[in-house]
Amino acid sequence: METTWKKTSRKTFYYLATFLFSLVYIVPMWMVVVNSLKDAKEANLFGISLPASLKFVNYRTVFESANVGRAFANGLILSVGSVVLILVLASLASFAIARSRRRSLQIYYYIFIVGLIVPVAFIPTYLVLDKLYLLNTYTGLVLVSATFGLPMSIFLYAGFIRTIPSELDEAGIIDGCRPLALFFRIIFPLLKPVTMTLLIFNFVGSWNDIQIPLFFANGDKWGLPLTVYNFYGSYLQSWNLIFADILLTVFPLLLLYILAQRHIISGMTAGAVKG
Amino acid sequence: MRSRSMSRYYSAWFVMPAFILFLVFFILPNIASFVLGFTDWSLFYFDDIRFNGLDNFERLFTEANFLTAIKNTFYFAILTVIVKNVLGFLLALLVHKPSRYNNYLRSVIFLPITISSIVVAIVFVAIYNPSNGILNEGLRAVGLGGLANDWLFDPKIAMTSISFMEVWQWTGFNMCIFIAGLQSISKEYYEAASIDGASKFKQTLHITLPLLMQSINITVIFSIISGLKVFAQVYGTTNGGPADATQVLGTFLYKSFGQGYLGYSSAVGLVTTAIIMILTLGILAFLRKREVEY
Repeated sequence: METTWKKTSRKTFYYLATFLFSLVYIVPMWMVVVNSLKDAKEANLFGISLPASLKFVNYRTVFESANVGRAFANGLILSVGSVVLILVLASLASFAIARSRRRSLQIYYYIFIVGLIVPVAFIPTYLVLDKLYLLNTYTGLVLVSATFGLPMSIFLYAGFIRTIPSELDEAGIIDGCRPLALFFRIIFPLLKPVTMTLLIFNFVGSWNDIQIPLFFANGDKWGLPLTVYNFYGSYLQSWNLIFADILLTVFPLLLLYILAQRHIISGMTAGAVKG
Repeated sequence: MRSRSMSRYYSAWFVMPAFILFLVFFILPNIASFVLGFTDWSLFYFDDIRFNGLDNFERLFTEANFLTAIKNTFYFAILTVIVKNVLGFLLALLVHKPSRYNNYLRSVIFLPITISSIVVAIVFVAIYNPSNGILNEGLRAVGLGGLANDWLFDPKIAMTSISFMEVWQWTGFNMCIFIAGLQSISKEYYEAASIDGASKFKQTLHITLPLLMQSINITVIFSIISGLKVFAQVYGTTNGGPADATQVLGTFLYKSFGQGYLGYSSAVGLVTTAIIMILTLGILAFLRKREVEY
């Protein structure tokens, strides 16, 4: 048995080590917050002391000069659009794939799964979008973003649907459901846990992605993360404004994280664990 | 009889909308890159694409920057895979027991995952600032001023600094996967082992690690793939500089795309795809062999 002394010192070490480690995460966030409220001269020193005086005006300046509203709307259009498309198309496809015994449908499954490993071919995708007149359009960005989310979503949906007893389908069919009604009325509601997971996973992914808008659209279609980068490039001498813009950018997802932390952690990791 | 009547309910048509999207925006482009990679296609002669044989690949493999990009991509992928997994594993061991304090630690360490990598990159530009950044200030404050550095623009250490941004942001992801794995290991193994007199360290080595192998395989594969696709971390900090010293495959491709050399960029994409496929499949096959089930 351990002595009490040994136990206490181990506890102390544990608290000390873990607390110090959490500072590695807290100090950078604190630095962003306090410096976003300083004037430029003070913020450019990146100190972590409290501001000499609180400059809330920084936020107004950023709102006016960084086009935050427009970028926020862009992010929302692209993320919501692609997530809705992914959830509907992936669940429907997975239903047929998971239930049917026909070999042809299993081949589709493997084709989608290969997309988990094969990276995106950006340049030829650019050509495809160009030929379809979809370059620099919301439609094009939503379609591409939805496409890239399909493999993981079909992988998770198909795995989950296989655990739902098919007697349920038979009951629905006996009750006279038509094929699409069977899926949307009976099966889709049962998929709620995976749907939540994929909603979070794909929304966070799309909101934070920069490569799709960077390759396929101009600045007026960009979401917040890319506009921050642009803003940073042109306000190098005003870190107070850069930090304020960063806070405005991470705020929506941060709020979501605080409100639905459990769902987000399980949502982001569930995909991996079930694989 | 049954299967024929059911095929109406599990119709292949249900797969079509998703498949058409996947065909047009993923499969087709990937196949097209096998053609475009062997052409002189560029923004300047956009509609006049001509084959130029192996020219692109010859140019690629004689360009020093491309070889640097491959080297840097590997360095980033290998370093982050190792550190994210080792650190994530140790953290999971420390904080996996449910308690209020552990919950706080977990949510703090996981939080950066909700932030875009490009934003994390900009924050680290500030942290790594040679004169006033908190990293150098912190080192000076504890008397280690000699270790202070120009983290992002000294070519010798820039890639390491960039790798640690990824470690900072994504270790929490691995940690959470390991925690889920740890919680599924039955306590009986540990009870039996401690009755037999096995030390905590031995228990970790002979019970926890083998039983966690499946989770470890997943995080290793995830980390390798995301490591080889690195883009935002470099684009947001050094953008490949100084003098292409921190170029990675992702930024190299974007740079040649930006210069208008589309055929050449397609060739870069092809090489990247080949590297990712070979490595991932190789590691997948290797790891599959080592999974344990009790």
